[in-house]
Amino acid sequence: MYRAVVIGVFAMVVVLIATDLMRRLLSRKAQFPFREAVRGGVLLRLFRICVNVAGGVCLAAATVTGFAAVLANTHTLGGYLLMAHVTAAGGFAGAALAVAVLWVSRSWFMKADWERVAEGKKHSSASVSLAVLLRKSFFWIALASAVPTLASALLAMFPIASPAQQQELLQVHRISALALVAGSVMFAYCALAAAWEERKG
Amino acid sequence: MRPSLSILSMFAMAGILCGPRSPAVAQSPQSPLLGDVPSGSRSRPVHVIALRDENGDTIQPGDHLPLPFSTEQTCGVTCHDVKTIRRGWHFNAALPGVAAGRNGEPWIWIDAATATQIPLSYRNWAGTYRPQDIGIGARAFALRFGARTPAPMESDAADSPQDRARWNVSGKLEANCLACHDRSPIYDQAEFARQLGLENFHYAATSASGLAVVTGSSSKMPNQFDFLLPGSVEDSLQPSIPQVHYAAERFLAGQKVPFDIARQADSNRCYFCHTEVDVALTGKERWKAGEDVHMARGMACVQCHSNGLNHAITRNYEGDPAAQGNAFADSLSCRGCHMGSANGQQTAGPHGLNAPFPEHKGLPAIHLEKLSCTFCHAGPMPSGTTGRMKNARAHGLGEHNANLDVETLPHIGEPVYAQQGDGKLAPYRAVWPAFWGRMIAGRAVPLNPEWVRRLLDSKKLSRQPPANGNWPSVDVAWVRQVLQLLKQSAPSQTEAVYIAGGKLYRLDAAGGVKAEANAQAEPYLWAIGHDVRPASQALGANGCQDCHSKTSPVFFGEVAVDSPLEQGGVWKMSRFQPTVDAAYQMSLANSWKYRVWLKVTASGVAIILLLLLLGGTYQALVGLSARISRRRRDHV
Repeated sequence: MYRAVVIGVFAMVVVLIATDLMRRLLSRKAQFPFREAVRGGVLLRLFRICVNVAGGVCLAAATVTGFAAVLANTHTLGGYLLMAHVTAAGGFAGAALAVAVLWVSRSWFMKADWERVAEGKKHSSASVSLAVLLRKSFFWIALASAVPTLASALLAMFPIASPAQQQELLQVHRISALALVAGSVMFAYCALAAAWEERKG
Repeated sequence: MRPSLSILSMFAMAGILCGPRSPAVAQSPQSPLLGDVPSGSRSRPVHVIALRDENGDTIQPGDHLPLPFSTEQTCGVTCHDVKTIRRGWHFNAALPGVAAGRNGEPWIWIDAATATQIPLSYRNWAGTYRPQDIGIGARAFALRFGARTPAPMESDAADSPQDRARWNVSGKLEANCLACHDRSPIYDQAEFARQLGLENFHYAATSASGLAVVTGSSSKMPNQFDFLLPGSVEDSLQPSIPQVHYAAERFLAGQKVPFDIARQADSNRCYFCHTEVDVALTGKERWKAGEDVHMARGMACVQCHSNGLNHAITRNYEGDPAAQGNAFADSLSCRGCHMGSANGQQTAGPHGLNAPFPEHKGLPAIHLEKLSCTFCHAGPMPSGTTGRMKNARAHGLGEHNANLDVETLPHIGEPVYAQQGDGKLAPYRAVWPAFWGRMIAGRAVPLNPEWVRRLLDSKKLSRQPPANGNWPSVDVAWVRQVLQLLKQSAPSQTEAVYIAGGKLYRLDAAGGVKAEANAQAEPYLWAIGHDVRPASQALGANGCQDCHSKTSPVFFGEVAVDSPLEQGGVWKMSRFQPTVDAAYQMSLANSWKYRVWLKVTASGVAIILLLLLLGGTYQALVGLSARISRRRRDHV
């Protein structure tokens, strides 16, 4: 069941991104520069890029090691793969914090964002773009998923939960991690799209 | 009432001429006997009964030269189905078609003078040898081990003609009901053992019961001696003729005797054969020693190791054949009693013991899949190298004149963490086989240790064991001498070998001795069930690093090799854990020091992310509120 959900969610994310990418490519007939228009000096921009790349790499590592057992349909995640997953997850925890701190100031849901939500398809050119709105939404989805993902793993490490309760924590971890991965990937894509739109604008 | 001795002797003589004596209790009764039909009363039935000899005749205190009472006749003639009982676990080892179950404690044949230590069993336990297969007859077995089993024993095919003759002198060993069920404080199993040493098989239970004093010794009687015709021996042997002197004051009116019999055996009875103790505690004051947590809480052995009339006592490991298709018996395992067998939450079996449900807080569930309950909860706490233990059956604990030295053979090591048949890790005891044998069809077949002893004695090659009962001082040169002797005495061209300390020794082409690895030289292992330690004393009570550390004895410990030839040898524990990845366990142990950092970092990150989430929620609500306020103003 969980395996089917994982495959479904991953497929949906790929289809969404591919569809949007195709739409953009066909309408603009040009390559995306995929460069975020950030303010600040060169060093700060370099730092931002490094943090984002590190977050992406750690997320990829944690995702691959975490979902490999599920996708391979083996009984449980264990052995060296679990060790690699915990290592990657530890790195991801640090990187995720940095990414969150860097992006949070640009992800607050302000009055304009709600107006954009209320406008729906009838939005004016002066309002917030859909890409930015989605980026903000996925940022908070990822953040909201990251907390139970981390907390469930952490609680299992302390002498708090019984083996049966740990299995429940594992279920929480698996579900929230799936939401975290999907949200993070969509966030990254929307950030790139918004940056491109911002640059074009 | 017994007929007069002369008449009896005539019938007995006729019996000798016509064939073996057949006891009256031969077939299961058509309908349940008096004592086998529970009335429903929870009170203990009073046993004031007549004593019967092996022919079923009642015994009176005034009888002239009375016979010892027969347990099978006394208990079985009208009250209990002895034939059914004799198929129970304590009696059925040699019966065909009995499921052996998992490896259990073997009988260990020791002959220090020939550096021999062989695990024996009539059950089909891999790593043990059937006594009859190596020429050990029932008589030799009974003399060595009869005191520690209530099972009946009589002559078998492996007995020599001399031994067969001696069975007629000593009498056979009957199923000894009293060994387990007599709660009288004067029942003395050590006396039973002493009588066996005197070859008074026939008299042992009577003497142990305290109802009579037995004098004399069958060991001094000639082969043609018959206890029904005691007057037939020469005068010099008359004082040694075994005789029974019943205590007249123990007989009540009606010539019956009160027995303190309990259906549920007293744990003290179990302990006579099933005591297990760390060698370090041998000879030490018992009050400083620990005890199984169940016993410390007031339970008795039989509350878990239970049985019905068939005496198929449950061994209480998962997969026990005695529990197959028997939900009640299944509920008596550790898991069944403490975790429930149905939904994992039921804590009280039908026995109503209300065993506490183990919380196992912080223990990942995979531990319950990979480890037996006993891994963490049974046996001694492990240290770097396995220690040694003594037990009642192997070391004669509780018997008169038992050697209490810590070095006394056999050497039983514990705890060895090895994999069970189902792949789970469990603690085991180990005995390293040491025997002389011949290679037949690629296997080392042990030679009859008594024959080896006689051969070595004749050539003055047997060694005098030290007073502490340890291995004698021997070396490879001695092994070469013995191998050459065995080669010369071989009836065929079969190769003589010696197995000890995990190696097989054989003569090489140059006449020297070469040692090589051999599966038969590996230690015989049997699972540790007791003493059970509570959660506060279990592995893991001090944290994960009880097992997940670089020095963890369960993965990286050493198993001391016991050999008369080499002292101080060890095997890695990982040799007994074929599917455990030792490299992974070491990596895991090495990574454990980062676990604290991981916990601290992840906790900090989770808290900050949670704060950001709360801040974002607050900010979103502020924005939403502003948007709603503006719409209202616009609307107004």
